[in-house]
Amino acid sequence: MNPDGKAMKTDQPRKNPLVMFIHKLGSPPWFYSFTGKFVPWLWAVFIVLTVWGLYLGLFKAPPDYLQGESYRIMYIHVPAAWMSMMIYALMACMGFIALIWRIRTVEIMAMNSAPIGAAFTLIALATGSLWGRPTWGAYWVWDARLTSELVLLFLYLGVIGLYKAMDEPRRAARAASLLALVGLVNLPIIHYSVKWWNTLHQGSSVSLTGSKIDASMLWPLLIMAVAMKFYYAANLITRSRVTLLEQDLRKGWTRKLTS
Amino acid sequence: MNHAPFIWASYAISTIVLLWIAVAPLISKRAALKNIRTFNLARERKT
Repeated sequence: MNPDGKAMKTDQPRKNPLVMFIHKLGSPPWFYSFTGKFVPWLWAVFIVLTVWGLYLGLFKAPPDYLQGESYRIMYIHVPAAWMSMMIYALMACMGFIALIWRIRTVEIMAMNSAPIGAAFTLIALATGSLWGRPTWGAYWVWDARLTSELVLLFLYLGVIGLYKAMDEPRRAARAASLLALVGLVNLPIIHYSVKWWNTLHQGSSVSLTGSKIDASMLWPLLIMAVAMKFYYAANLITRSRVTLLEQDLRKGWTRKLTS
Repeated sequence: MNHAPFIWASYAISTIVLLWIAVAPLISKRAALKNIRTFNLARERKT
């Protein structure tokens, strides 16, 4: 307001709240304190959804008419397989942002996604193998879906290895982000492998347009899929906050945390 | 064929992996906070 009580005109453009929020997220002290408020809630929602999903899936859902009880592995195998692909796509997106805009918190989040994604890929492969034995009669077959998922695990390990191999974390994150972007080509291969080749692995039973599974079996699966997303968010934020502490050891904002 | 061992093994492996991935950063956080405190103490002694 000017002395006459009239609003003053400024030449500065109005800042978009979303852009302002993204700018704030780029600040390590702000990121650390802001995200710290959400972490316990994310873990709590994950635990509640997991207990609910597993109760419905393991104790309430009826046995499958063909596979019997073994199909119950689906409630961990399918969400883990979905997460392995979703996390890779997100990691590559964050890697792209890190390469173009050089936002350190995004670099850290991209690199911290890799171990979580690798864990989900490992779970998908291990549980798939345990499901394969009673269903196909073999723990492992060099099927297109299984092989491309194994390649995904190697890609995750490559990203983790490349990031750890360099002393300068920002340079390492950019190199690993580039590798993550190249590896994106594997995602459509995993998804369409059951259509492009004759595979032992079954095709998709659940898609965005509908499902071939009965509702009593589908709901626990969807609940578990949502629970895993909360696990990823909680774990990613926890890891990113720790990485910020490790990297900013000598900065003023970390000193205030311990004083 | 009894399917129970395959089902429980799947959930046991998943629980171990997910627990380890969740606990590892908490261990790192304790170490990082300890390092920050040590660094601060060393700096205070210097000044």
